[in-house]
Amino acid sequence: MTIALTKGNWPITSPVDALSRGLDLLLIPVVCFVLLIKAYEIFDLYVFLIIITPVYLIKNLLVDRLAPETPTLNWLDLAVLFVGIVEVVSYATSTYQPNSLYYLVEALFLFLFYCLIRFNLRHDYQRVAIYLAIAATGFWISSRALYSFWRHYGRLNALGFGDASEFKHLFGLVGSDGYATAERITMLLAFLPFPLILFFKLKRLRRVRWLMLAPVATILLALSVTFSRAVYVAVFAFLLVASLLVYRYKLFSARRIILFNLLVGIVALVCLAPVAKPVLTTLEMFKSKSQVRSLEGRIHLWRASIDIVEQHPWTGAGACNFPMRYGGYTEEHTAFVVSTFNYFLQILAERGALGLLAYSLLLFAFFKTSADHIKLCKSELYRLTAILCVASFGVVIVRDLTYSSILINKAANAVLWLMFAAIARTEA
Amino acid sequence: MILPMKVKPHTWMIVMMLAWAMFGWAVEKHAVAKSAEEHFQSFVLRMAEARYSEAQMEIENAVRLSPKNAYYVAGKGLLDERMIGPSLGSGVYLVSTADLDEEDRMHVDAAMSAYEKALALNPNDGCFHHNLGWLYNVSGHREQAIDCFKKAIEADGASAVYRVSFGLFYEQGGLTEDAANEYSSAIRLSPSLLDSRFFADFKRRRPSKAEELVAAVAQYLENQVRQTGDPFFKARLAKVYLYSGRTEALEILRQTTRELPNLSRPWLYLGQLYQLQSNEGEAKRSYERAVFLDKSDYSSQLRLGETYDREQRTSDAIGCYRSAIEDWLYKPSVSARRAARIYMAAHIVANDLIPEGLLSYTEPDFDLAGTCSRLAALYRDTGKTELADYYERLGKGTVPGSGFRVGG
Repeated sequence: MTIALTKGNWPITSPVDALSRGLDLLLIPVVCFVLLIKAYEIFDLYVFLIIITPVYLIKNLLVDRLAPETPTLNWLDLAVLFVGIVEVVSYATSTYQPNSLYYLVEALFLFLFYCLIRFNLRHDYQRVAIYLAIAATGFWISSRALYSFWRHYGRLNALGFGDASEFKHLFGLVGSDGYATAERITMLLAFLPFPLILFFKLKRLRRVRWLMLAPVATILLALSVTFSRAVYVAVFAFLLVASLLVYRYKLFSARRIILFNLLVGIVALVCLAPVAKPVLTTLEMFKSKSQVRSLEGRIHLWRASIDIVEQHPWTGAGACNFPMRYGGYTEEHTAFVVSTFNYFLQILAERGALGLLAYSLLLFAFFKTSADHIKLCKSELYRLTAILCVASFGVVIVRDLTYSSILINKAANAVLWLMFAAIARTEA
Repeated sequence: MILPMKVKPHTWMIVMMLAWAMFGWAVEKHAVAKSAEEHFQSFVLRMAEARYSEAQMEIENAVRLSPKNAYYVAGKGLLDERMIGPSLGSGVYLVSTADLDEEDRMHVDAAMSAYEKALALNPNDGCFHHNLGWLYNVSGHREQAIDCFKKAIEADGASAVYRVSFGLFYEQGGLTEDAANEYSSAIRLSPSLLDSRFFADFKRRRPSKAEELVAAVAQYLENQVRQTGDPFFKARLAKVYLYSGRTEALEILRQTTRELPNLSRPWLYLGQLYQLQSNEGEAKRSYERAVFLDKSDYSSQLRLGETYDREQRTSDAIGCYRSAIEDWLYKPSVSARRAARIYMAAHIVANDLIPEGLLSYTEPDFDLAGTCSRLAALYRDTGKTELADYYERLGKGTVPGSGFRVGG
């Protein structure tokens, strides 16, 4: 029996081979299911992963050992492992373990999810299918966000409110599950590279590939109507960094890159024309009262957060404990805040210097592995994936310099760890 | 970027197996925490329905499964307080509560013990300190009570309720000046207290002191506005002016709503001012804006409902009245809302303050009976007699569990 499962159309020669191929195929719905459930946070998938992990572990041990290739571990693998260990230590030393338990489970989930992809994402068809699923999810979520915005915008106009940027917290752009829009919108930044990868990957399917620009457009528009300065900076940074890297590594000509950016710019300009005023207000950065207050509040918060760090310098106060600890450390004891509004400060406050070291190492290992890969890899798809993933992860970090959404947002976290695994795997 | 050593896949597989085992352990712990959360959810529902003996079973199960969860432990204390007879209900803040019977004393002791344990787990919770302060006061430990109220304010200096409690405590001990200082701080933080039953009672008890206090708060806020120009101070000042009947309120509110149009309360106050000037159109517009910005503000919902009612927009009026009633009955306290984030709690006890009636006592007053009666009449007019009967009963306080917020 011969089943065409791969590009090479290799025949299935034995039941073991069939099992291996079947599990490779099954990885696609498994990963898509995890990402979809994470995006909507409908329920947790812990038991699901407890069942799936040993299945693939046995496959890797008993079936894949027949394969001649031996996966070589790299620094990204070690960095991921280090982060996992630090999360366990952080839980053990947490000042309030009931809260930290939630993130310990999540951190171990991400580690196993990483391993699952790292050792089993072996074929192009798997990548394309997973990226398609992410692009479709991104399209759906961003379209819903735009619809939600449009409804609220209509109501704002009817009530005579002039500048929509003042009311961005009301739009409910990405679900209304108790988290602020700003905490959840980061997932769209993480989704952004995947439709772009497919757009360039599906060169031969000329008509289909243009469909991939639909999720790019809706995601960019949804990000635009957040009227968040940090998101705007992140989007610009994404386009700039991706364009420069693509040009630097000669994946496309300067003309094509400029044309593509022009196309994105024109579409964005046309679509955002009806909401030009709040977009301009956002671009002014520090003009309105809200913008000034927001910046002042953040600066004050960053200073106050240092006090918490001083109390627990090595292992931090424990994951998810910042809101609990903050009240006891501020001088004024006036405001309730849920986070430090800075990714690195959040890690330092909750996981201490050890945590900062682990997450910094992860960041460094990811960028270094990606850079090596961009230089050395021959496959255009893999190089482009690395470039866009670097740009995406970079801008998520840029966005989180004034917010702390990565550690809260499960969907963004899952997609980022998928990127880590995809990059680590590619190099291997 | 490849590692200097070539790690065999088997080595990594062992790491994975260890991680998997650790994950299994963590998931097991997480499942226990979830199970505790389910018991806590049932506890919250039973508390809302005032079915305290069933609530006790649920909270004991939750604490047994998750003994380190400060929020659950405090819930146990809250329940014990609720199980004390009517002596700690609303309206008894200034009378001696020493005449507790044996069973009540047991509940007070159990509640104190629970809050002490909760504070050992999280010493930064202002609400726990505040509640323990009242419990110490009831059991005659005034020094400890003072200490607790001070710690509550230290943990959350923005809470007006804690300061009102501290003031009531001082007033109970005859320290009127200290009490007035606390009330003044509370009104500076939240001028909507001027519309509460607490302030109405205070004004009745000490009319001249109340007037002095309002004037002092206005002066303080005027200085703040001059120094900082902060729209939040402007909004507070406008509220104090509105209460005192001063016309400057209108200009300040217009300024505030221009500078920060996303604040709900200034629109409500502006609506009230327009209404006083018989400018119904602008009043309605302001109320609509206030409701859009904060759907859970029963004052705005009520005012908008009354406006629609006058315009004979019956279905809109019904919607607003219903929202107002539900918000009034079920809107959680500030500390309860925060608990959702601080303790990552999926379920919260909406009224987590001791004494039970304190929450409604310190919020802008709401005519529950009158609103229910009007809503019932509107439902009767539209032929919905079942709903009309329900709201009539609700207004009379005969619907089980409907009085949990007001201590009924």
